[in-house]
Order: sequence, then C-alpha cells, then structure tokens
Amino acid sequence: MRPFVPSATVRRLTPVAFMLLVVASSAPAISAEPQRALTFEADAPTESVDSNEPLALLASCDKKLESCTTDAVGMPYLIAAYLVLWAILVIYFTLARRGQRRLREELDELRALVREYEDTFLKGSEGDTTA
Amino acid sequence: MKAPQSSLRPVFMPLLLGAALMGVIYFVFAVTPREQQMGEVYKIFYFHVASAMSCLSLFFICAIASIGYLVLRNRKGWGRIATLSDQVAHGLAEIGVLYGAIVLTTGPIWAKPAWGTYWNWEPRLTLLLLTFFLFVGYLVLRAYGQRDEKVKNMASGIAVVGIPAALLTHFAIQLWKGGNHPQVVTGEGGGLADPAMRQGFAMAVGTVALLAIYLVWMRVKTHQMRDEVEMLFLDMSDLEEARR
Repeated sequence: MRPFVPSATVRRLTPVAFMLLVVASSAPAISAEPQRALTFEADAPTESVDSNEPLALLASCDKKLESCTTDAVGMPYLIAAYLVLWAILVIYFTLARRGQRRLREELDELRALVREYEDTFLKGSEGDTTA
Repeated sequence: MKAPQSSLRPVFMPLLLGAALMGVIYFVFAVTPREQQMGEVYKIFYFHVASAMSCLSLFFICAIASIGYLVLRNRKGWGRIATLSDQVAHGLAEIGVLYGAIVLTTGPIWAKPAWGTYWNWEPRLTLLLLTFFLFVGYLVLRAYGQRDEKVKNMASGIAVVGIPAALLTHFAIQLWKGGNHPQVVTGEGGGLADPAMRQGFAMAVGTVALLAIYLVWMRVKTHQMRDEVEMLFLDMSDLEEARR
C-alpha cells in the first residue's frame, strides 16, 4: 500500500490554516467584556490635620504607618527589580559591543589579507603569462 | 569613497538612550504618585510592562521576517532581501529573548509583594515562558547551524510559531479568566487613574521600544559582519586553492 503523501498545496496551506484557526479562536474572547478591569489609583494626598483633634491625628498617623509598612515591605523588591533591569541591559550591551568590536577588527584584518593575497596571486599569474 | 565616520558616532546613541532611560526613571520615582493598594512597589510596572510589550512585538515581527525569508529565499533577484530579513529575524529574536529575560525576572520580583508568591502557573506567565523557550531554542539552533541553509530554514519555521505564541500570550487574560494579571493597560473601565501615571508609562514604553530598535540594529550589523567574515574566509580558501 502506498503511503499517503499530501500534495504540495496542502502542505503549504496547513501551517497557514493552523495559524488562522489559532487567531480566529481567540477572536470571541478579544471582543468579550473584560472580567478583571483593575485600576491603579494614585494615593490620596495627605491632608493637614488639626493638632487639637487627637483622634484625627491618630487616624492620620495610622494611615501613614500603614503606607510606610507597605513601602518598607515592597522597597527591597523595587530596588532588586531595577537593579536586575540595569544589570541585564548593561551586561548584554557591553558583551554585544565587545563582540562587535572584535568582529570589526577581524574583518579589517581579513580584508587586508585578502587584498594582499589577491595582489600576490595576480602578480604571480601575470608573471606566469609573461614568462 | 567612504564618508568619514565621526568619532562620537559609536557612543552617541547609547549615551542618548541611557540618558532617556535615566530620565524616565527620574520621572517614575519623582513625579508619578504612589499607588493606593501596592504602594511604591507598583513602580516596577513601568519597565516590566513596557519590556513585555516590546518583547512580544519583537517575537511577532521576528516571525513575520522569518516568513519573509522562507518565501523569498528561492526567488530570483530577491536573495539580498531574503538574507536581510533572515538577519533582521535573528536580531529580533535575540533582543526579544533579552527583553523576555527582563520580563521574566522583574515579574516574579513584583509578584512576591503583590500576589504573595514569586511564581504561579497563571496562563500569561506560562505562555510567556513557553514563548521565551521557543525563541531560546531558535537562538540555540542558529548558533549551532551557523550559515547552514537547512538549519536556517528550520529555525525560521520555529520562529513562525511565534505569531500564535505572541498572540496567545497577549490575549491570555481574556481567554483564560483564572489568571492574576491585572488589566490596567488594555482593560475597559480600569486603567491608570492619574495623568502622571499615564505619562510615565507612555515615556517608558517609548524609551524601551527605541532601545529595542537600536539593539536590533546593532545585532543586525553584527550578523552582517559575521557573514562577511565567513565570505572572506571562503574567498581566502578559494585563493589558496587557486594558488596551489
């Protein structure tokens, strides 16, 4: 029995059809109402509290303490994230530039060498023809 | 005759982009307000999301450039464009993986204080990780195959899968409702409430995208030089052969 071999057109169109299917399958979800619309709200500016109102002062201190605690917990992560970002970028850039510089030097040397070779070869072949 | 090259040229763009990045960081920390729920730690968002947007765009364009290479490689008169699209695809994949690494490290760092865990197998996270591995595989294959045409074709085939992979990663939030990722950028009814937040985000997206374009251009140049070096080696061996 001969094995089934799809025609060239079928083979070409299969990946395209697959991609269209994947994209089309996401279309209803794209038009659907988002479930988790989340807002990043700015923190309310701190209001001046009357120093003669001890309860209001206490509440304000509580709020400040709460935000300070949140920030104290989050700060090492924030610093770590920005350090990682810069480290990845700087290390990659330095290595890429170094590689590029090395390649450029190699390229210049090779160009000179090929020119030299060509000159010698051409001179040699001219010498051969005159001889 | 070659145009004289300015000695400032190699350092001008990196310096400019570095200064722009510093400017955005200054804006993010000095101008944008603190977030109500998460506090200051939400400021990871500006570069994390900007890098993710660039990363997915780079993978998507890489896939398109790879299709360009696969379509044009055997057409007469299109050889140079096919080679260029292959070099561009290679550069795009490299910088996409670099940005992917940034997203996949800053994300878990932000997730710990925001979600209470460094990692969970949430759809968008998982899909981005898989897309990242897909393109790491592409780069490994390219590094292994060098100028081998068959390997180039195979790698381009892998890159084409980047189209559904990038699209699925982007729409993962809408497709699978169970994830933790917020929808502050694309979500209706949500978003960045403060105008300074929106400005900071726009600046971060713009700067990160410009940096990506510069890095891709740099990598394409490098690949062109590498190709030229290999061509010169071939020329040398031809000359050597002829001399014998």
